[in-house]
Amino acid sequence: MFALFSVLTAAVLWLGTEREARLEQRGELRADARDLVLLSYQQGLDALSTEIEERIILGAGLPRWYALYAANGVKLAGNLDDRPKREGWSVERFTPRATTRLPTPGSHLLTLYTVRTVRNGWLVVGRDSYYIRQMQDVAARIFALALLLIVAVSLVVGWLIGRQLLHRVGAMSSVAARISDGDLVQRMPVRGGGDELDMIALTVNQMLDRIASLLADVRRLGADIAHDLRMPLTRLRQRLERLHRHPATASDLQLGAAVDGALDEIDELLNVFQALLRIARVESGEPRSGFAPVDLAPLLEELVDAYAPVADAESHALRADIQAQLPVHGDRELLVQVFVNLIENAIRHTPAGSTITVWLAGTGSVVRAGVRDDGPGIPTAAHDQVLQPFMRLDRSRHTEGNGLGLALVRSVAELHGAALRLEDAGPGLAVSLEFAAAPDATRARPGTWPGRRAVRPDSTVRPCLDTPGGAH
Amino acid sequence: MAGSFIRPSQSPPTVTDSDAGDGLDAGADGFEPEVALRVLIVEDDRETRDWIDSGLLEEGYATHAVGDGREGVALAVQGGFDGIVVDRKLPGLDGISFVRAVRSADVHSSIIMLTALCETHQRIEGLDAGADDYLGKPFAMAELVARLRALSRRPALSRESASLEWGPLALDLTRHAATCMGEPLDLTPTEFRLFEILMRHAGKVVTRSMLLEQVWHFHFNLRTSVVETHMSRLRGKVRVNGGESLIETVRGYGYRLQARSRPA
Repeated sequence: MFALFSVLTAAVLWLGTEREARLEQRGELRADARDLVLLSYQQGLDALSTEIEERIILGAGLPRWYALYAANGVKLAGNLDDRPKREGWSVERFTPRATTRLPTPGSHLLTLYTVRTVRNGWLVVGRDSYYIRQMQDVAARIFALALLLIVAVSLVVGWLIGRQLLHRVGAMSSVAARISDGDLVQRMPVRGGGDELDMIALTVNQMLDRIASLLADVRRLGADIAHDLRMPLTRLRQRLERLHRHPATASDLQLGAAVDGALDEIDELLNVFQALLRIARVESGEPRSGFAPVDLAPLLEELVDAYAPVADAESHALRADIQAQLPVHGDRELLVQVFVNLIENAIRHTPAGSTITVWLAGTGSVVRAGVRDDGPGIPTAAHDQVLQPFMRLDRSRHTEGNGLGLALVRSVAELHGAALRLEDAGPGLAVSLEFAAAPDATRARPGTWPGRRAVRPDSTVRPCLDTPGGAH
Repeated sequence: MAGSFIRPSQSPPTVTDSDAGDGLDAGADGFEPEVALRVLIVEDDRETRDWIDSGLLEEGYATHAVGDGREGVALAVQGGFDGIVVDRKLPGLDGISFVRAVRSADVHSSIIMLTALCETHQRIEGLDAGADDYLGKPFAMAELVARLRALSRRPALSRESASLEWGPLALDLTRHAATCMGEPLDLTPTEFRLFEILMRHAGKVVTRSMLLEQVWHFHFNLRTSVVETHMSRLRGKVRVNGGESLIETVRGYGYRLQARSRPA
């Protein structure tokens, strides 16, 4: 690139100087001719002849060339030979006759200017282009040398830089190849210069860190899922296999019970899958596009009303402690699910007689909501663990539930940008979420106490079944 | 499916000319027998289509099953179907377009859309297109049947009426009063709403998920405990002279209002 531009610059300069020189010479020629013609008009051809001869004799250094012809073609003066045929400019090569002074004359390239004088005479004035050509040669040589130098240097420098870049890019390519082969420990080399390649390398490394951690999660999750799903599938298989082994002796009742049991197991499996799908959907961030203001106060009140009898049936006391309208920005359905999960967990994992409180509080910019109980709680060390999918504490291994409740809570909290906290409620467990308050409080959706006809579309209708309902 | 295992303790359904209702109805007391309801099934998966077909036949419906959306539209538009069960994903014409086409032809059959897609905006899309209900796969046959029956038109109990009566029970929505034999029932707001739904579908089975949807707007049925505890309280309140509750738990299906309590 650089070399190319250098060449262009040089060419322009060269042409420019050449042109200038030529123009100057012509100007000079014209001026000279004008003077001489004037002289011929003022003093006659003879005077002009004399003047010309004088100039030729006196001309030193750079020779001047003249020729004066009468109208009839007779040469009156001058050191040129050719009879001019027309006016104007011309360029000719001329070799003067040998003289004693100059036995071997060289040829000259002349720029000639021909004009008419008084009494129709012809005047030719000439200058040697030699000088100009000389200058051009020198200039050309200088430019060529400079150009060569520039091109050489730029090529060398370019090659050096390129080589280094190539080397770095090559290094990155080979790392990338190794990574895509599965070696996730590799990272892009960072030179520390802060340039673009380094920035790319840093970004890619960050990406790789995240991917490695996600993959580790997925691997572990995959193992957990496989393990947890094998149990119900195994049980299912056992039931059906027993049926298969004793078909003839099985009574209708036994068959019925066996099929019922099988259906139960399948339902449970479907629930797990549905929960997993929901978590996956939340993790993908997709619901964010449907976010709207949600007023948590009526939402929580409805839930407490719904679950109060359920809690009561297990001798729990379920209470609500709700401050005024506090809207957050989010997905109503998912938020309902979060609190349903927390309430059900509390009911399920606390002994009879426990008190469960659903609360909502907040200041201008922060909304906090949660569920706390006064049961046995969860050991602080296990707080992180229980948020993992399928993670269940040993003592609750055999209770209902699929171990995905808190995992969903965590995913939804993350989706909403809410901070999820598990704390020891001394005694008991307190789970809370802290949201940023929704910007416009007045636009929150009104609480959705059961409307008259819920199957027709209103924004809170969800008549879809996730899994076979009510079979048992 | 729906073999002899998951049945309420009643005799299997018999299909006769005069009473083509199924074993789910509350018996012959108190209401007219229905003519066989005609249902159009539009489902491309053969196994599912046959399953739905046989299930509905057993329940006393007259069925017509096709596997292509366009064929389905042509049939639906001819009219005469009380209910249409259509899958969302169909070759030739997808379910949503099917519903729109049928509705724009001014066909008023009840439409239930079946789908594996269960997210809110998809359900709303289906309902907005004109479907009356939206059911996720897999589902229990009982669920489909209960919902089909809930949608069928019974002139005796208009869906929008503000005052309902069924045997000794009465519901006045304008005055927000529920009574049994004239005596007011003391119901919580939730129980009142549950009672209203049962009254609107009196004599028919209302499934747990239908109640979860219409009262609490829960679309996940894992929370059946919520329905069960509230219904159990309601059942305790809706009884005549301390006898059995007028709300029957139909095991395997849901709940139903009876015309009168069974002899003890």
